[in-house]
Amino acid sequence: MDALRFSGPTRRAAMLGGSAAALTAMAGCTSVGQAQAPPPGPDVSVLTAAIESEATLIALYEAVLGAHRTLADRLKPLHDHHTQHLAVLQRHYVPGTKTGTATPTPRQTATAPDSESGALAALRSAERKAAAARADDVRRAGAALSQLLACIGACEAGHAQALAGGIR
Amino acid sequence: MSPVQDTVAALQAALAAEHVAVFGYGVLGGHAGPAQRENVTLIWTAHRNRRDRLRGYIQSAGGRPVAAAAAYRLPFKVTSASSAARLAATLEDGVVAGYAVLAGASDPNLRRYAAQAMQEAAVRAVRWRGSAPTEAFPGLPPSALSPNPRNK
Repeated sequence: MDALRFSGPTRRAAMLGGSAAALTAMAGCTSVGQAQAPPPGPDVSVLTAAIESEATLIALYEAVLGAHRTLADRLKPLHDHHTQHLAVLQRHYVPGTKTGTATPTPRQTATAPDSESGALAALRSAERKAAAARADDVRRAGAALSQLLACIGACEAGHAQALAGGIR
Repeated sequence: MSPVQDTVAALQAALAAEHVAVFGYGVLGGHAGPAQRENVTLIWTAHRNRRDRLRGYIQSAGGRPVAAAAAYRLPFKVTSASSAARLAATLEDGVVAGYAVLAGASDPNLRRYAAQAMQEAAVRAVRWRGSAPTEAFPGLPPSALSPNPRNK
């Protein structure tokens, strides 16, 4: 009888390979000089879009949390996931593209719907849209970034489902 | 490894996860509540279909699909509708992780296929648990994200 294994050697090897690439990319971000900056790769537009998407979601969560305090217990953990997504995506952003400048931090504003049910519906719709966009993004991104985007998309699809019913 | 070998290895990881899911849903189906039974059958069929497609992809790439084991040791015993639901959620977590490898494949269409399969599994895990995802990066081992963004 085989043991139930979700993290076999193949998977772990592949994931670590991806993470090594990601870390290498991150490590390279401070050493690229203005003159040698290569043209932006395809990852850059994908990253920019994903960063904007996360910032939009965070702004909407913050607007809803500000307007509907009773939803805090339910929504704070989801909001926290998005701040983690944004942090990791921003760490990916700089290599070989924007030299020495801080990672752009998009400033977004959002307005919360008046009712709790309206607010949850708005969040659900935004999460669905984001998840669909991440699934499309992986076509254009490199391997390491694709894995990250796919995991973020899975999280967002799960959020949308959790916001759909009485799920806490 | 060559790109083709990498792709086959990633496909095999996803296939292995689907094998476990197909086996696990077969086990838990007998314990699912009456309201869940139809749902279990639908999901079981969905996993079988994904499994068959993965086999096809592997064969097209010149690989030999990894065979299912006769049985898998499940993480806990299913004795009730609630433990059946818990197992189903755990199986879906495993599927998300299995496809996360494929999401880094060199073929863009396979990456998208994997990303969509991950989303479907993540949605099912939430439905089975009745609670929101607890991980910000489902399927990704924590080591892949170090240093931890929260400690940044």
